Amino acid sequence: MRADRIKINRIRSGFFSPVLGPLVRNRQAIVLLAAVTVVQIALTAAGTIAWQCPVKSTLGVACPACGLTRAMVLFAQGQWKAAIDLHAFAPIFFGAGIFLVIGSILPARLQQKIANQIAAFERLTGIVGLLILSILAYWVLRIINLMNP
Amino acid sequence: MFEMGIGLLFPVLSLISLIVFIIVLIKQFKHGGALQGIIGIITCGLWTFIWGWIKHKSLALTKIMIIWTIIQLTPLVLLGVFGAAMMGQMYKMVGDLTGDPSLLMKQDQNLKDRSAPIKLPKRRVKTAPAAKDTDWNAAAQALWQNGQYTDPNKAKDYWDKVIAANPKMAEAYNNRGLAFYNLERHQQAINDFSQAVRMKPQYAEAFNNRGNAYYALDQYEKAEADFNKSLELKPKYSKAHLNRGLAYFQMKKSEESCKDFRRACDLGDCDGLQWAMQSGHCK
Repeated sequence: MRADRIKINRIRSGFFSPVLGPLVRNRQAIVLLAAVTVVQIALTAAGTIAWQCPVKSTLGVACPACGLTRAMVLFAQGQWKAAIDLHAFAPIFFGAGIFLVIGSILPARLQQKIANQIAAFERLTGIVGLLILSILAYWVLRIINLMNP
Repeated sequence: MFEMGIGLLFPVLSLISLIVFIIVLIKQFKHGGALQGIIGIITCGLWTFIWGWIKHKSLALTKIMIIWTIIQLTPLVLLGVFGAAMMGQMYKMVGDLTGDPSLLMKQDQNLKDRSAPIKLPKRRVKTAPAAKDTDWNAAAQALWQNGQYTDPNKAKDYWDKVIAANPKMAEAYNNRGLAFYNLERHQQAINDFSQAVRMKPQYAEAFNNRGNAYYALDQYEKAEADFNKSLELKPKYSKAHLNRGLAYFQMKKSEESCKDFRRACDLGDCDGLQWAMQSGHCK
């Protein structure tokens, strides 16, 4: 009984544990992530080879984020409906991308302040966990849709 | 042969990339927590890659991260060295070697037919399939660029010679059909595509191409039947979905048309859907 409770508490704390806050706090990480995001979007927009998903390129199975960069490019071009049709999470990730780029150039003190606020918000709402669950649910729906045209 | 050697490199690199991804992912689950690991999976490994570089010193991942980076950069470097056409050919060869029946040469990617009322944006096209044993074959394939023959008359002559040397080659009929299609000699194109599917009844691309030729002649019911057959043989054939969507559009079957455009987009070809949304045809 006690072991079960400990397990549940661990899952709950994992679900609500901050991910974005510590990321924003870490200058090196946010700069790296912003740079990779910009390069990925630029390469995709240029129609050349970008990040190769190891799962899709080997097993042919699309990951939950497959198509997301192309959708973000469409979103940036103002083709919002097409973007959402390609990947429903494109606007959220596009916004996150802009936030990352801005976050990477913020002054240190402001960056720390925002990071703390984001971490507190994550602990309170479990927003990242919810987002992940939504993406996984969306991915399942996409796969079902692909199997049953 | 050289292209094939380079082409073979890709499945090997993909496999190594997957193995490296799994190794770093396990570390990520162990040291970063389940949430981090799940984010790594759902971002196609990109987050795992970044996390691996952030933690490479503390978790002794430097060597493995260098390997992963080299693998990811290799296609980009090869693209710079060999150019897009050669890379397309390499990818195609991999497809052939791994049993993928979609020889791009046999797909009709040219929707810019003058009789078609829809002006779709030009799509990127990979180069022709590998040459077999005749120079005419290679010469004809060299004429295939950006979804059409640069000189369809010459291509038709070359395919005539290939067919004369090897009359049982269904691909040659299909490819000559494409030359006729480019010359807007649609009935002759249909004859060649029909010959190709008689010789090879599982030839999804030839059915798709014949469907396009019927479409060009405004025979939409016949076109639809061919696209249906093509999709029956190859359900994930994005071009056939896109083309059937166009046929449905002409037949005023709006709902089916949008459904096919969406399906083509799900499969990676969003030109139709973009056009349909911009023109207000699909919501």
